[in-house]
Amino acid sequence: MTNAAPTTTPRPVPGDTPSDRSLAHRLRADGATSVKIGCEEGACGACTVLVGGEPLPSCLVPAWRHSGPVTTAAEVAATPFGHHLARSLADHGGLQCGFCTPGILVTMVALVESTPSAGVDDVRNALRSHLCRCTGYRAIVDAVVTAIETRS
Amino acid sequence: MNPSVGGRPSSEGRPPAAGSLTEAMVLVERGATPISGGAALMSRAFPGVRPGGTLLDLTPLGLETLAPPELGAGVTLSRLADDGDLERRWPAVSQAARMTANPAVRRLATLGGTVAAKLPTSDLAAALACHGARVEILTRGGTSSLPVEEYWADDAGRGPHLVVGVDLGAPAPGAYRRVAGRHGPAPAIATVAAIRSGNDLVMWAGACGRAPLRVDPTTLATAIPPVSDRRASSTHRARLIRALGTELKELLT
Repeated sequence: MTNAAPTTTPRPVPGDTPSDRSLAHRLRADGATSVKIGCEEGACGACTVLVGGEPLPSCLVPAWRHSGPVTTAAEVAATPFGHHLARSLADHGGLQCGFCTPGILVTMVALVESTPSAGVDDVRNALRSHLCRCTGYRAIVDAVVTAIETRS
Repeated sequence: MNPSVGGRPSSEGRPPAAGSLTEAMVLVERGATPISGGAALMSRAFPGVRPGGTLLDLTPLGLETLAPPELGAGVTLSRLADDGDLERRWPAVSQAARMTANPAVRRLATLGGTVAAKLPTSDLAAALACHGARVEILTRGGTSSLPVEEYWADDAGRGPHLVVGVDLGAPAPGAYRRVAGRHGPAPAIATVAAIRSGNDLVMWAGACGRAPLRVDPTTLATAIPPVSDRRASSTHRARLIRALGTELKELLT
């Protein structure tokens, strides 16, 4: 049981918004600072949010495309499992600078939502959407697997 | 932009969305840039949409047919990668889809966008060429199709058009291999796809030039030398093609 995350709905986009403005920039302009702007190429995963329950790199999503609910890392972290996973990441040294952590948190909560019995291979595959330059990934995998095994 | 012929008018930052292919074609001829998933157009890694440029949202057209060999332009790479029929009957294409970018990008990126972007480093190009796949395009004159490698090679001569689908060609046993600068998602330096057609092998290389290059399955060489650029020399790429081609020959014969 991961407990559905609350969602945030971005404010309507002004009519003169450039059509190539990304959802990531729009969410940050709305105060959602847990959405990190990294590579803006969809490679680093720092800006990952849930749209319709799917983790997407919000830097590649046009702002105009989604006016509906979006779940950011801050909202994911406020759920019981999200908080449990964040605690596990801290306990296992699964972060150092922490810039990649919000996106990873979003992706892993979505993974457990879709695959409650996710194992090491599932976690590693999901991590392919993220770059972490501090940990070498092993501690992140350990933290996620432990969080899955010990969730209530 | 507020088109007088077709397309819903823009509101709240949303670009016009075509209600039919005919409407879409009119807007494309007026210079609109078609957008579906947005993965290539929004990325800083690729030539992007200029601020103030006009986009045309293709998603309402529902070009999402996934009935191999017929594939709609709106099918996401994620759906391609997960499709069991594709994996069993067009394994080289399935493997190439699974090795494109990362899982999150594949949820956004569409087949049509991938083809229309004609990125030289595309994973799909060589795999599609192996099967003799054809790109289905719509122009003012109607619908037509042409081989994938021809579409990739032609930079400017096509004129205003829309990629509406891909005909995969005949199914065949096959496989796909790639080499990149690092482990994990990264643009390929060289790719090789091969299929078994009767007693013969058909082999193509990707990421070695603007368009995929045919590989002689006996010599494992390309008729046109691979390109040299900042990431690898022509000689290095030729060696990679031989190494990947050898692996695929052993696998498929």
